[in-house]
Amino acid sequence: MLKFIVRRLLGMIPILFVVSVLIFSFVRMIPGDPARLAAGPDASYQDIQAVRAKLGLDKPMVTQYLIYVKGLLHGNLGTSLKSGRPVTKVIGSRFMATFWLTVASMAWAFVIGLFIGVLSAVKRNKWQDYAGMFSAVSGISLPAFWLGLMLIQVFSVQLGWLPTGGFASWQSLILPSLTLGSGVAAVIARFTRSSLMEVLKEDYTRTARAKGLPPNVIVWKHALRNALVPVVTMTGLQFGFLLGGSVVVETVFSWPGLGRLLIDSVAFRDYPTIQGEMLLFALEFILINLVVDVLYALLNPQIRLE
Amino acid sequence: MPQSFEKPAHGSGPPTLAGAGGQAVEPSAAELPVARDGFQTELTVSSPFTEFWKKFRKQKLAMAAAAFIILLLVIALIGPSIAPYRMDQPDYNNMLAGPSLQHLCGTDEFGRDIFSRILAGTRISLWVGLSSVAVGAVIGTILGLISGYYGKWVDAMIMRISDVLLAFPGILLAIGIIAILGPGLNNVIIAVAIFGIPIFARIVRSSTLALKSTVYVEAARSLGARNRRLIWKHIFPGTASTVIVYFTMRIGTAILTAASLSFLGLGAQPPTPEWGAMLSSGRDYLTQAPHVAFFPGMAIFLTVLAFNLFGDGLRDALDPKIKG
Amino acid sequence: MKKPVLEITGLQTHFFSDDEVVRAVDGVDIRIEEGQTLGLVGESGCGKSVTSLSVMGLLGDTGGKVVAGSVFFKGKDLLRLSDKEMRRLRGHEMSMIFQEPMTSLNPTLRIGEQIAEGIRLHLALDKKKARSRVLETLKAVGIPRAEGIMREYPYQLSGGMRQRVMIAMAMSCEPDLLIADEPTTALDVTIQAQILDLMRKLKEKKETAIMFITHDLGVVADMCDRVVVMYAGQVMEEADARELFANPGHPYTRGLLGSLPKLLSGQKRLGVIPGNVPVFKQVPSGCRFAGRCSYQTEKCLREVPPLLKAGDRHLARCWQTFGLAGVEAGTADKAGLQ
Repeated sequence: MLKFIVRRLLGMIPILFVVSVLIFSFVRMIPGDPARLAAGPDASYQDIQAVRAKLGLDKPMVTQYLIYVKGLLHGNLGTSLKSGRPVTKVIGSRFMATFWLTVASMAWAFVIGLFIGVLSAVKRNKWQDYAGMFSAVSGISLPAFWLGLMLIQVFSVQLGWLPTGGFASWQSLILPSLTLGSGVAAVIARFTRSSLMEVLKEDYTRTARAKGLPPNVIVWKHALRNALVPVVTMTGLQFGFLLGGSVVVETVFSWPGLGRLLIDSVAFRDYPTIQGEMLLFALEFILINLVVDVLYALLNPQIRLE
Repeated sequence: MPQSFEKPAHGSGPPTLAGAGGQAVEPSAAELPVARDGFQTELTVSSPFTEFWKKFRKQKLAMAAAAFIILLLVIALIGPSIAPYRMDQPDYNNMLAGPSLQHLCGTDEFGRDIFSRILAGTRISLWVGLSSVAVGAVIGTILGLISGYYGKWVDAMIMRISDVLLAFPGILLAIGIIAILGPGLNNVIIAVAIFGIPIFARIVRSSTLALKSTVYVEAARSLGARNRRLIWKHIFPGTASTVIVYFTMRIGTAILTAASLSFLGLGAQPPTPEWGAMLSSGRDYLTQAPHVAFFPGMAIFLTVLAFNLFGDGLRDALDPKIKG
Repeated sequence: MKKPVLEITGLQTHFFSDDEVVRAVDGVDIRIEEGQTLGLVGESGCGKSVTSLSVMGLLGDTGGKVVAGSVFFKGKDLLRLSDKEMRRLRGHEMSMIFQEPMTSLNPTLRIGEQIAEGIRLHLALDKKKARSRVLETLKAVGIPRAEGIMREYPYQLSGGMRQRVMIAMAMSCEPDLLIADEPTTALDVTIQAQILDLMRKLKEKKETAIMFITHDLGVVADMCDRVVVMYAGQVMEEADARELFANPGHPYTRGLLGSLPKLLSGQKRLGVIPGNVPVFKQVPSGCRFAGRCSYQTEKCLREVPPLLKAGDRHLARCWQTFGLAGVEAGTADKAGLQ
């Protein structure tokens, strides 16, 4: 198992290399002079030169890249142009808010998605299936920003039950996570259904029935365990979707997280912060993929023991 | 299914049973009882399209979605001319008015008719969705064919780049690209298209790999068909149904992503009647006039829903192996 | 005559898809006595597996439905039992072994648990007692180092071992009826022999009645007391095994026998029955085998033959039964069925 993880970690190195090159070239891909852009329209020549030096843009490309990577390895992501604080600090202060939002969203989405998926698969072609699958395709089609605004309108403005935004207490987590998780719940529901339906056709499901086991034992003990293997893989990949969705949802709910920081940084052309965030998102996504692979192995004894 | 079996050699002769043998060795007699016995003798040969249509027609939701998409296309073409008001016609006596018979979806902060603006916005959303997916599909399909057919380092390179692109969640990649190119609808199309490339490249590559080793491609190769001809005449048609299904299923996502970017202020800018942008400005009046945000959002929802249902239906009818 | 364990009468199982009905089992009568091994023989698609699934109530999602007939098991009509009552019998008083040992075990559960859960359910044993019972059954099916195997997962075992596990699972609650659906087809020849040997021993020891489904007449000769030959959803012939081999009463059975390789007979080519098992969408008017039969007459095409007496405890669904009996089997094979 340990060997497996190490092998996977080593396999990440080339991807990380390409990602770092991509993010490094990011600032250099901006049309025009990035230093001029970063310095703002009213900057004097001296200001622009100062920014250029600060961004290290006056050195040769390869040197710049090496400096960049060296900085990365020391945990130095540069300085935010907007606040003047180190990017690591800026990102760090926002990290937990997004973390909790993502975790809460995934938690309910997984439970509800799994439940709807199992129900639909078991009650195949009955009304429960149709209702479940129609809500799932609706969930995938719902614009998160619209859902968020409508939830605010109903539960905050009209009923006054929950806060409209910000991150002050667990109550303020409810509406944003509901909004962010709906799409993921829908995807999980659809995937669980198709996966479970496949497994229910398998020979070993028939064996379980031939043993005289009651249907719920067959579904929850025999079938779901096998159906979960692809579901977990897919669920892990949905974390990426959540990271992306957090940008929209955080904007709607004025959530003090990474997503809103990204939009603010884009609006302010705070390139070091954008770079840092992109790197963090890519890193998170790659790490999640690793965790998914490990989970996959844990669920599948054949891989686990080899 | 009865098959024409070998006619026994005459020398062997029928068994010497009274009344039993004679006819059986004659093929015509052997086929005759088959038909009379109610075996299914007719092989209904149908074209792939009839076959597809037979399966697709049964899916009522997908049919309804297809009808709705046709309606959307018609609106996209002639929308502004059938709209009750001009989309940019302000009415300062009638700002933020709720839905009524005069204004089906109410009016916005400038007193513009929201219904007319939604009709006008249909064209934008469909254009963004279709064009971005089309660009992504064309480039991705070509790369996937090359990658799967030629293999080796070409394949390795294309797939690694795809991995990296896919390492960013879709909308984040789009935001990154817009951060470089600057906000605007065309840049949104480019950003969404770029995200589609690795997706199409991957699925086309895997079908190509499967098709490459099939008998008919091997046969064509052994007859000396050239690589390019093999790819376009033999492999590409085999991947087409998968590409079509993904194409449809991606449109909904593309429209949604584009609307999200406009909502975030990175795409279409006011006063363009883009649905996401309309919703974004309606957000400021949410407490007094929720309808300003409600109706554009509903338009996005129904459009994306229609494309997703249509895509699901296509998938089930064309290629049931693809999973949602 | 001994008491019947299983008595199937007029069983009809049809498959319903969008716009058609396939009559997979169309009026089948089968009787199995206590301790008897009955071979159910036929080509793939003849309805033998569907018959067994109908008995076990395992048609499930296949789209098949029993539309007529009765299945009496130890005096109870299985078709009238509730799901819950059926569950109490399945895996307990009647159990089943399937064709594919490679896919019939749950890949994510340990072997021990897969056998134990049935024992706990049906015999209401606690964990510890169930465990020792599992051990006992694993040893009974000849599995070495049973203790270790209990903790292993299916993928760690070979096909033969998995089939032994399946047999252990089926026998764990000492059923009165065991249905074995081509239990050796997917195995290597040497392993096949071992598994057959094991089944023969178990059957002698436990006196379990067995319905042995196969397309392999060699296995039938080896294992079975009585044989039922099925074709296109119907019983074509039924007889004691010896009688059937000595004196086949149906052209189809002759064809099957003719396609068996015989040592020392100087035979140069194996017989082949032309064509495939037909699939019926409507009730055919004559004998179902007529289309492939070289003894066919006008009458065969017009009227469905009933099961006619063809000897002692021997029935055949053929108008020509007595005529056939007169033909020497060897020449008939060569002449009629190329």
